[in-house]
Amino acid sequence: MNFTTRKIKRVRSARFLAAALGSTVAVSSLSVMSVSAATSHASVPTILLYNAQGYGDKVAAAFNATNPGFKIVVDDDSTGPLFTKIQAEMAAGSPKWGLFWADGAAPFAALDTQGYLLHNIVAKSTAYNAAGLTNLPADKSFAPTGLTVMGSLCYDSIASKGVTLPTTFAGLTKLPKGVLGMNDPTQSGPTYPMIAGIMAHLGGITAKMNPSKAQVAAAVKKGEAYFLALKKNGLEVHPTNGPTLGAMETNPATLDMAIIQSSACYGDINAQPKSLWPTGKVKYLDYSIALTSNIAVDAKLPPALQKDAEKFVAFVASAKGQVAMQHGDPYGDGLFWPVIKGVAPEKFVPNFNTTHAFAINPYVWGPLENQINSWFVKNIIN
Amino acid sequence: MSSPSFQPARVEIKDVRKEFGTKVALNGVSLVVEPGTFTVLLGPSGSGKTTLLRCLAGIEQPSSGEITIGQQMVFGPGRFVSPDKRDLSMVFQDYALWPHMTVRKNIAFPLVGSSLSKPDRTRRVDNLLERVGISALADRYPNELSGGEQQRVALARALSARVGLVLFDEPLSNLDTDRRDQLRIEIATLTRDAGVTAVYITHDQSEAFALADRVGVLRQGELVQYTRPEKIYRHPKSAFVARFTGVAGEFAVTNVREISEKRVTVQLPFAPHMFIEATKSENSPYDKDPHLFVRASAVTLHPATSTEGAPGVIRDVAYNGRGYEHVVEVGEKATLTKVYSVDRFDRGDCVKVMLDPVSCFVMNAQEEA
Amino acid sequence: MTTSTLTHNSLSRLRRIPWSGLVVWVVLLLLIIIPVMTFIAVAVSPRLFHQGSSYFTLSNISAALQGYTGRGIVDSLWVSTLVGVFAVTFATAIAWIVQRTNIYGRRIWSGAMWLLLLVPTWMTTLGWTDVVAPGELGSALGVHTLFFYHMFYGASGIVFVLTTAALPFSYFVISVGMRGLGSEFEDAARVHGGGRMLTVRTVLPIIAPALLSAFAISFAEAMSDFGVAFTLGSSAHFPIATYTLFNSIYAFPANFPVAAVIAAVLILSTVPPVFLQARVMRGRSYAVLSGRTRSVRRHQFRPWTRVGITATVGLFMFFVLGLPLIGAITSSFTNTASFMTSTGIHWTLQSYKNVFQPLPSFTTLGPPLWTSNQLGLWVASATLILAYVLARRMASRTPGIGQRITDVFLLGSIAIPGIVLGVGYIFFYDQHFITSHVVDLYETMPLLIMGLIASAVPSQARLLTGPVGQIQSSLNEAARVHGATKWRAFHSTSLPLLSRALVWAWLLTFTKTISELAIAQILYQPGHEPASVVIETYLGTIWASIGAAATVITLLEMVGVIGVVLLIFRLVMPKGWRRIGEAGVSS
Repeated sequence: MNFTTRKIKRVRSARFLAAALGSTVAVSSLSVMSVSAATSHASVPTILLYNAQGYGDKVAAAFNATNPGFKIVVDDDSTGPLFTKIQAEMAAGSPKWGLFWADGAAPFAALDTQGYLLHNIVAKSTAYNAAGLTNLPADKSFAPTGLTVMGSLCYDSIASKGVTLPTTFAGLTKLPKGVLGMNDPTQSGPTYPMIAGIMAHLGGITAKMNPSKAQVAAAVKKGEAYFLALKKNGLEVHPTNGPTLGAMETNPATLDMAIIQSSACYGDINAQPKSLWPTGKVKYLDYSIALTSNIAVDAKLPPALQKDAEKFVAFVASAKGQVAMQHGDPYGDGLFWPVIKGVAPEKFVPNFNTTHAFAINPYVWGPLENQINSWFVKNIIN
Repeated sequence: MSSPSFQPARVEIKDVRKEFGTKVALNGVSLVVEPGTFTVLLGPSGSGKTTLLRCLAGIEQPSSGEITIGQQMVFGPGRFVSPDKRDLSMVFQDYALWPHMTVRKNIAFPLVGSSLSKPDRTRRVDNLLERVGISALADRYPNELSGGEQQRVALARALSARVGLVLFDEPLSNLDTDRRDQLRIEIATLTRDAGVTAVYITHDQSEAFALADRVGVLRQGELVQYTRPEKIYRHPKSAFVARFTGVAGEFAVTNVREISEKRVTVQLPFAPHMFIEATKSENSPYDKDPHLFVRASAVTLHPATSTEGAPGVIRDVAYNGRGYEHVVEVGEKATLTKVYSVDRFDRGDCVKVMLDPVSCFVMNAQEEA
Repeated sequence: MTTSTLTHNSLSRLRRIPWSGLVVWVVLLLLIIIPVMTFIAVAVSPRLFHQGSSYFTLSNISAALQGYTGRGIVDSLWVSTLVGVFAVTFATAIAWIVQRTNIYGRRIWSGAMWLLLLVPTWMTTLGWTDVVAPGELGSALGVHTLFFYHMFYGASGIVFVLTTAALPFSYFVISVGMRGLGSEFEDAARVHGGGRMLTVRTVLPIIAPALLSAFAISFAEAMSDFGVAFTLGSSAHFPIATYTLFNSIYAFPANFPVAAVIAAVLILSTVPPVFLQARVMRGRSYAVLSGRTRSVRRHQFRPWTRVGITATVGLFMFFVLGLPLIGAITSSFTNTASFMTSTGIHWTLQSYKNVFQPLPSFTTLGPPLWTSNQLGLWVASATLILAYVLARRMASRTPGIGQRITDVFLLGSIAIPGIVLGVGYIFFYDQHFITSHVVDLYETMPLLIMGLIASAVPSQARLLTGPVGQIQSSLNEAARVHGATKWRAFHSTSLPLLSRALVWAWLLTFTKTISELAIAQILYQPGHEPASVVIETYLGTIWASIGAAATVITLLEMVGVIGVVLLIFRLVMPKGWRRIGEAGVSS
């Protein structure tokens, strides 16, 4: 066989190989379309759960295993995109979502204000504990499913050696310069509730109150003064939990402590297989701000499916459901305080008097988020 | 696309009009090209010759009219035949050789899909390569060839499919003068040997006259004159045709007097004592603004001592290999250019200029609108 | 008039209708125009979508143009202008050095530009964060990075990241323009006494169409970038429009009307660059080339200058691409919240393991990456066809009002932020009458594919306009006249000349689809997240190192696919095709 023939054979082989490879890829990529077809021909009714919680799909799987009549299909994503999708679907008039599960009450209050949520989704028999009852709205348009707190003081025991740890929020303004950090409320969802909670606490506005505009304005002013004082003392703002915790864990640390979400701190300290932050610690000040995870049902869901959705709500607001949540994300969102009587928190989560957690009224503070965040960005973030 | 039974095409263009927005590129052009003839469309830029050629090729679609190539109406009311079905080929001004194909493949392109067997195709391509003198370049790529070689390839490609009609879009305009003449001869020979009908466009009058069986002069989208080259030369239909096909000089005249059916005498303002005999142009009046148009071939130079002819002074002389071309000043702001003589007259020499009435015409300088 | 004449006239009229153009515009209507206009309609008619009480109001326009959002628009305009200028300046310099001089490693620098094009802005930002954030790579190397950290999260960082994102677009558009520029222009300038600078100033206007096109694309891309807004966030004194738009949409409740106004302003802001470009070009075309292009002569630097120039370009590319990649890669080899910890640097492959054996609340990368690849295949192929058709219209040598409209439309579409497209798709395709009586596409793969195509087509069409426009029309005409059908003429003549550009365009869209986040996040089918959505869940958490590992794996996979495709292309490409693009032959 001469050189030219060998070359021609080689080119022909290469072309055949390319054609075979291309055909294989093209045929196998058809499966991406059959995904759609398969979904549209599901044999049982499905309810789409828009889920921002780490344990969502595990809990849904546990529920589906014992409820064959319908299926909870989980759409996992961050709160922001899910919330946007819900609102856009409602605006378009053909919502796909049936259930929404996320941290914080403000998004739910906003949806409820627009009439998007089904009311009275919580069964009378639900065994809420005090924390659960405190955070349950009057119209039961959304149901609390777990409690974490914002404003826990997360600190590195080595970096903060020599610093007297404060016991109150007021004490944070007297720390040495530049040792305290927090997250950016425009990037980190749970941070705004903390800011609102501090403002509400300073203004004496509880969750059950119906404050006047003047009362709220006064509380906001007090809160602004407070954060300005923190800033004067060198408050460091990082975008989200990752960089904030990183700033404490690094060597040399650029932050000694930070006021963040309790579950984030516990998760970092207690992550498996071994702790990523063995010197990390959590301390609570004179109060914390309650941040509940909540679940709600689409008001436009067909009546038959509404009943099914409420079954899922009842499940997560039961002892069995609470345990499934804990096991579903043991190093993250699962580190919450249960809102159902008789359920203990995970071993990494210390005993904590959950009434210590100051709840805010999301219907009052939710609409102020844009305004307060804008002020924060302009005056606090460098 | 090759025609197993080759027939040179008859081309009929009937009242073809083409508009580009508000601009009228072709304004009702009609002409017939007889089979096997070589027709040249001559005109300046913007005359519509390129547009007409592209309409013939099917690359442009006319706004109205009819075009028939051979037995097939290729354009008409409700009808448009695509270029690939028109049984024609084309030589482009920029050669349009495909840079990723060898010379051989370029030439063989029109034969793909034909009824010829592969050996026959190879044979035909080889023949053409030899005929145009580029056999040694068969496996080269276009960018490795000179301009003249590329145009030869383009010519061979156009002839490979033995179509009835070959179009030429100013194929020589990008070549050097010496190559141009050489290639012009090859185009003429090869096309006539092949027996195809040819339509060729150019703005070069000498090229047109050298190649054509018939010449069509276009101006602003209209066909002004369409006839044999000799007739255009000797009987230009209008001042534009006369000027475009080459005049040595153009002078306003007075006292135009008919002396026979075809002849007149005129008086030149700068030589009022002389009466110059000239030809009446057919179909072109001389009533309003008569001018004398003098072809270069009409002028002969004689020594100043000659008793006949108008006096003149040599302003410039250039040798062109076969003789001398002179610029002769015959009066105030009146010159004759490209005046040929075997003998050389030097700059500043006084001469006598004789004009042959056969190649001098009297017409109005401005045409009717 | 007889019946047959009537039929002839009707047929003649029917034939004159540009059917292919109509089909293209119908496709564009469904892909881009209708969804985006639906979203923008909310700005003036909020009640149509239950976003307010008025069917017509201008109050949202005035609200959006004032205060924080108004400032964001102004900031975006000047930032994008600055980005356009910087990108074109650097790109021209690098393109000239790589194309026209004897710099070492020409292919490496061109390859680096491709890599830069593939890397989305959120990846670049992630990498830079892993370098400059306290306790990260910079700190480990002993560099005091706090200053750079704060600078990065401000105007400088935003301009820097957007410029690096726009740089490769500019580079490739300008390179195409420069590649075909024969040395004769420079020679003519130098022969007539021009020094080096004068020669450059003489030659640059010849490639003005490419420069302006590069500026316009860079401007539009900067205006619409979502990655920077999503990752860098706001700065106290420096909001940008995409960030305020993102904030408006993600607020509780969402302020769609104000977001719609901002989106409309972003789109309209691209009109001036288009008209500026048209004015300067004035009938000039991209066509610098034909089959007669001569080879380009490279400027020969002296040895030490050559080394110096190569080092400068290398340093620049290291800074722009290498450093953030290194940041992301080093971060991926740890599993702590910061690179340096109080117990030292913990090198580990654990993050890579966790990518495919995820922690309880996360998703493995495998199936999402496969989903992304399949999406890439569909989107890249469809986009290529549509973009080529549009590029041909753009490169037409008989410019008319249609071409101008297409130009404005394409550039305006580049400026549409992905999130606007995503929400617009929900607003339109999730309409009750559409889902009930036409087709229910929302939250299905086909709709996601449509959205991704809509996002990719405008920039790809503009990128292809240069190469398409460079081909002399006579090459295709010659094929047609010599018996080739339209299809044969295309695949025999145009396709070979465009093959390289088309393959790269396909690869670009394929990789961009995999890394695209904004639209994917809004439109993906539940349970079938693409890779970018999965990676995003890690970012900003303490598990960011897993996100970095997933990013590295995804990037390697994209580069691998590029390598395989190019290898296949090289193996199966006929010899003649390979000549295109090499010295002396145009492409």
